[in-house]
Amino acid sequence: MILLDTDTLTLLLLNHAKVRSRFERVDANEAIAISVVTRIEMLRGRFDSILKAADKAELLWAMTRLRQLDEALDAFEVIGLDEPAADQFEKLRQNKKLKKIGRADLLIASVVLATNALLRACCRINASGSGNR
Amino acid sequence: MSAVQKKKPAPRAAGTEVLTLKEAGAYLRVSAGELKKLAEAGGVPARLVGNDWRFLRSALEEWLRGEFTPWAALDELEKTLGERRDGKPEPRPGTKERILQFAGMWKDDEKELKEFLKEVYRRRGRPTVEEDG
Repeated sequence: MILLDTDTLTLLLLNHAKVRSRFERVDANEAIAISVVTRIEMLRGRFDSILKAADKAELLWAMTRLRQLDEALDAFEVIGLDEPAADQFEKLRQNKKLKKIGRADLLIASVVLATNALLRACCRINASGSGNR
Repeated sequence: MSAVQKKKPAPRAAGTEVLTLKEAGAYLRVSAGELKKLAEAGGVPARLVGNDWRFLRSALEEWLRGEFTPWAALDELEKTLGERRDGKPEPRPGTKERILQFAGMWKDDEKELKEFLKEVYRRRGRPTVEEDG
């Protein structure tokens, strides 16, 4: 199973050439999923747009985008945080080397470890918590 | 036998007869207008045949007993489980084929989505990620 992180999913929705090309090379039988963290982040972005809408046109546009996102997210398997993922989270949380890594990244890492998925992100985080490529 | 055959009355099997708006209203003891509004809203089992509403007595009985699933819900279910307009079966969620239907969905919103990603990664507590291959 391949788990797409929020950045990769966003770039796919933008039809970013390299991301799309890489995605098209994925085996047709491979399960493609997102974590519940990505789902929340994507929806939160849309809700923020609704809350910030300055007028009727912006509000309706934001609602259209929310509906479109809902449909797109339904195309994925969404992996939640079950007991094995929660166990992984406990282990990662207790690892002092990972103190600087944010909760959202730790939760996604927990899902990856629990499901043995391959994480496709445009950035990987190292043990110090800083981004690298 | 006379040249003009007498038209046979439609069979009236108990519980399966088709009712007009007026007959169905009388059966339910509501006005035709009220029933029409309900039918138009998909709140009662009914079919529009041309310009006229038709009701199946047995379906109305089920509806009264609370066993009715609104047509709108059934149509939605058929849409989900059924076939696409081109006749091909809808690809399963979690497959590359299904997800690629949404690639480029927001291709005109590059600026907004890059701002969105910046915010997501600000919340994650690490720098915004620039795409790579």
